[in-house]
Amino acid sequence: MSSVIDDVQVVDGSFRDRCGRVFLHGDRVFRSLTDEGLSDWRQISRTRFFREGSESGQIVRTWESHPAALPADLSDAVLVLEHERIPAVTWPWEWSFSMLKDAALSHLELMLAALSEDCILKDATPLNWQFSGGRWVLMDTGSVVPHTSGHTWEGYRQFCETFLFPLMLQAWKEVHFQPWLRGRISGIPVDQFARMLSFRDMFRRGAMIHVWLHSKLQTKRLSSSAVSDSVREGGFDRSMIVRNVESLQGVVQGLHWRESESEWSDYDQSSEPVQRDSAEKEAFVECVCSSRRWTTIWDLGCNLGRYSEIAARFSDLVLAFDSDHLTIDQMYRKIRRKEIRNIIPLVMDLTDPSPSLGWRHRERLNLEQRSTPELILCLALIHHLVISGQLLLHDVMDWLASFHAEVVFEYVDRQDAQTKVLLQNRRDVFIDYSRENFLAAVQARFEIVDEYSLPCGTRTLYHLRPHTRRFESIETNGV
Amino acid sequence: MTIFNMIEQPVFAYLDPGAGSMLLQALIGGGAGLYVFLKHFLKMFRAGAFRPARRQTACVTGKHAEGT
Repeated sequence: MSSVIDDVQVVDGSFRDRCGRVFLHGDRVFRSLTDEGLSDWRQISRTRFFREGSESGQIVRTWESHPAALPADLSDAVLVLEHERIPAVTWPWEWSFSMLKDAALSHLELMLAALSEDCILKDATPLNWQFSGGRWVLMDTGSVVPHTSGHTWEGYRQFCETFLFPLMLQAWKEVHFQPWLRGRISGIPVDQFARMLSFRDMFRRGAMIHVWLHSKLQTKRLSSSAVSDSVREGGFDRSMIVRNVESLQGVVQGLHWRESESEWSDYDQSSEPVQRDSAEKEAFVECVCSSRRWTTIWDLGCNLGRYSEIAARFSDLVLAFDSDHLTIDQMYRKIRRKEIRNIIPLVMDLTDPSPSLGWRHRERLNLEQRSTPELILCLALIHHLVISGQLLLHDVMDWLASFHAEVVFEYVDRQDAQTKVLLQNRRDVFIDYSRENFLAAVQARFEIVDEYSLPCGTRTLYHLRPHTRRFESIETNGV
Repeated sequence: MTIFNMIEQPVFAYLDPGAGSMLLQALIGGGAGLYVFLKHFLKMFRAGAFRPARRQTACVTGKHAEGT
């Protein structure tokens, strides 16, 4: 069909689907289909739920395409689809509780719509969903297939392990689910999760069936072929899957994370420096952001997103990071309420960011491989990174410079009340943390476009622009 | 529940996790699915699937540690 050339890139994370592969050509995203994939596509693309889902944005917009090139190993593709490009890909271990819960409910809602037209979502992993344009979007159109009567829902256990158990873990045990999903991208195994539940937990909605009984049935004395034969002979039909999906909807809707306060959740409202300097900081940030239109802005240590919201007015996309789960959860709910569509809040400890994971470390890429900022907001974060996170000051500046992006930076002096709090009960070994060293590190890597001393007298804002030459690591001997 | 709590189920390398999930869906689906669930459940019960597992104490050494 198309010529085969090599300047296209197969997306490594798409290898599990034998009916098609995703590949990139420039800025465009394509999916090649095999014969089987083509047959599924022909059927699902004619359905009302698929068409309506695509129009409403619940399913990524997809059309048949004829790319100029195909990857060499996909030359046998019988059809190529093109997908609308999603501006930023994020992973479930970067989401907050409400984000995972909304993704789970979107999945179940789409399942019901698909089942009403004899189709089904064969996979049930949050990795198939992205938060984009202010809503949850199914990316993996290949997971929507026609449903064969008499067959159960293949993705049921996957749904439990990747959506339901992480949500239950957070809601019932107040244990953050992100490290569990990051530690095992296929989720929390049912037998492992069952062991975590107490006797009291067994009486919570969904625990007895979806966890406890589910784990007890993981035994070698059951064989799929025997069970599937009798399930088919017993008259298993679509309505039974619908009942299961509706039951799961009830369970997921009933899961609430009741945490009301964390170290950072009320920082924006109660912190004295934030209150005192906020008007000046907002004006400075707005001045830089409004200087042009940006494609992507990163807000590092965003808290509740006060500055992300300013940035969002001048950027196509804002990725807002904070290590505090509750703060990000509150921010997510706020932007949903305010219908801000171009901010993606993410739970991320910048001293231990998302690594590349999965097969050959290529299946799920790390943060820096997925997004490139044009502007970075790094406000009142440096003292946390250097003192609490024990990072080296010059190394942090190296890292910021590596993006070749402009930076709005807030330097917090040693004399600042918040810095003193961080140094309390801690041996002060942070000899590199001084204004002189900071300025030396900045001048080696950036041009200072503008600076402004905040009224408190211990904090300074900088607008930094990277030197035009490509950054090369600078040996500064600790500066 | 008491029956299940008596046992400590080992994790088997070759178990078929899809089968249990499939059977559970028959139960949740209700109707005819309930019959299918009970049929297999009783079979498993009779086959001793829910008897307490004997804990293995022997060391795996030499030949026994080689490929399985």
